[in-house]
Amino acid sequence: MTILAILVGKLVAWLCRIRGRGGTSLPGAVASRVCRDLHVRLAAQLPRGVVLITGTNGKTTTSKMLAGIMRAAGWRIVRNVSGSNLRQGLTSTLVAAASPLGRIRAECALFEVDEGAAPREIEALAPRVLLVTNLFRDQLDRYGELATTARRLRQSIAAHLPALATLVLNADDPMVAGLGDGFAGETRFFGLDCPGRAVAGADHASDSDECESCGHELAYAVRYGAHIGAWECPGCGRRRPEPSLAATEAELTPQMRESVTLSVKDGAGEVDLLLRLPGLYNVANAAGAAATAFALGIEREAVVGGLEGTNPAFGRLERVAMRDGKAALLMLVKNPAGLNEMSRLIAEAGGPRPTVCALNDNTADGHDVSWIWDADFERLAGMVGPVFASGVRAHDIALRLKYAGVDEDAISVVPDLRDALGQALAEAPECGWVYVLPTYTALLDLRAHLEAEGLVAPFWEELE
Amino acid sequence: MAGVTIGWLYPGLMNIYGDRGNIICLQRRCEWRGLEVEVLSIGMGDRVTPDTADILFVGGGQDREQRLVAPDFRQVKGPGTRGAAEAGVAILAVCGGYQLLGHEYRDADGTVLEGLGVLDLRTEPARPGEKRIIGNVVAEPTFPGSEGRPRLVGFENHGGRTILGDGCRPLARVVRGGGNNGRDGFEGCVSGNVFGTYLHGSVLPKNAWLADLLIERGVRRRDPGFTLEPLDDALEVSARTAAEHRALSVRW
Repeated sequence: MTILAILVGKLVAWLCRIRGRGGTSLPGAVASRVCRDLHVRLAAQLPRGVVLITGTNGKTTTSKMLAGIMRAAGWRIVRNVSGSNLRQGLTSTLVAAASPLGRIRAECALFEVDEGAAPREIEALAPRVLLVTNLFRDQLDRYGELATTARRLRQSIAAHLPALATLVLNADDPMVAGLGDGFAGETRFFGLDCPGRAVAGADHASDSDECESCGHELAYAVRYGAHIGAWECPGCGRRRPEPSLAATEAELTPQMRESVTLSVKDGAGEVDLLLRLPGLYNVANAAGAAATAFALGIEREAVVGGLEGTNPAFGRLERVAMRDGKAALLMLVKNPAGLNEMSRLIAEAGGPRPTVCALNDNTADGHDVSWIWDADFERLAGMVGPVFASGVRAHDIALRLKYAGVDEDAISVVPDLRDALGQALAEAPECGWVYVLPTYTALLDLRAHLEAEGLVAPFWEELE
Repeated sequence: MAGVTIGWLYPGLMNIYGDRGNIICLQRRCEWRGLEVEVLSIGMGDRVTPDTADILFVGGGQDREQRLVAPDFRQVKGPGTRGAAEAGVAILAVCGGYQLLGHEYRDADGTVLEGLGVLDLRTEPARPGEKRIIGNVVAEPTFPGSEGRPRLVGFENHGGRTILGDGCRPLARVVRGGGNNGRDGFEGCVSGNVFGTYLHGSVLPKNAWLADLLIERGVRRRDPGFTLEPLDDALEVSARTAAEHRALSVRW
């Protein structure tokens, strides 16, 4: 049955390819029809086991960083590509990596898993390490409520994560830090200790400003954005756990890189490195990837080499060069926290540039566009040049920008993405570049246009 | 006094699905007319009086947060909020806040939260076989004073089913979406200057006329001649129209 399922999966994958589609989830979906627990059977062969990464933001980037580290350490790995982080996607990945007779030619599987699907996959795949990046409000209309997501994760960890596994948690996220309550195995925490990069006050993407245990408002000694920071509950005394790996320095260089120092308790000491991915959230992603790598017993040289070699993932601060010497910086935005990070980076970079904001409300984006009112577009006022509101909900984003204080005369509604990008680029000076902030399906649409013009590779070919 | 005061109830706990956009909208629309505007945050333990604000706003929350605020809302703020409603303060309550302005809210776990009873309505969990009500909404406003106004647009996401009593009337009749309970075709509730709705979106920016109506009615309580100058709402109007088209053309 396994072999038949694999062959069917491979056939579907081949058909997807000749029809010019990515085929990142359909092969797995069809193969699972033939053999229900196919991905579990295939994963069971992996001598170094399975590593799962879940959370709202940073999964793809963290996975890419960790993949770089593992390869630098000489591991042969398989991992799923961006966006296919439900069961079908994991299965497709394993089917692609299997021989027709069902032998997997890899030692370890590295999977990013949707936070709604993670409880089920923890149970199915019994990972060796589970990393949780953060929990933010994201597409609640699909999953119900954030507290439910956290509760289901916590229950699954307590019930199904093997006691020999290591749980790696973000200490700075009060919703995540408690996920190990009830877990019998080892929990390691990572976090930021960069008070110089703190933001003043709260922005409005905070999802867990109140203590989960007692409901008291949390106090922050340092806050890095949303509910991420050095938190403590004045009510019940619950507080941020001491991380065993912390980023103690992070400086944005003029070349839009991050100069980082990681301090690792017991063992590696201080690790200095230069990230090609800017933004404090990428420093946190790097800390999470490094903590996971150390939990897997990987040496410090491989950690540094892997992190320094990591390029931006698909659509995440991906710079696309145009033929005329101009460029577009693609900045995927999926939720308020993500938007706040991007607007902060735009503010830190300085100098207004033409900007495209593209909002879609397809299923993968979330049908409810209300979240744009939770995001601090106010920070963009005065920092962006002409703004082109685009996508299926172009008018909604235009209205949001108007109420955020962006000059109404600078806002154009251009629903067609290609037109919007073209007009923005036309506004850029010679060799200049533009910001593009698309939601997920808007990014896919835009990439498809750029791909047709030969400016980017199809994303399923972007497997390093 | 030319200024406008907006009281935002539970800004930290009851703010989901962009309900903050309603505050931004009210605030900006006052500022653009040169009116001074003040937004007061009214959290746990803070009292409300009929003079606290011209407009009171309370948004939605997750079940956990709704349970946390319910006793405070009823005991600490209840008498003042009822007094404000009687005095003619404009009140807008969205989703979870709307449910708590009724007599009681029974959630899916069977927990009963006693409400303020400012609105004559009660909210029950879905019946067996009924799903959570999620999606775009288009609704024809039907309350007195809404004559000739465009349809309301928004996004609803609620499990609770709200049933109106005789002491209040619906805000609107549903054209697309589930509305209060998915059965009787009504959306929201109006009683005097108290407005309850399930619409997120945020509701006010794309239905800017409703924002202006709240500001005018709230301020007229102390300044009967108060009227707002019209604004250039071209973007608001086109956004409302686009959202209506989208809601009527997609079925997820």
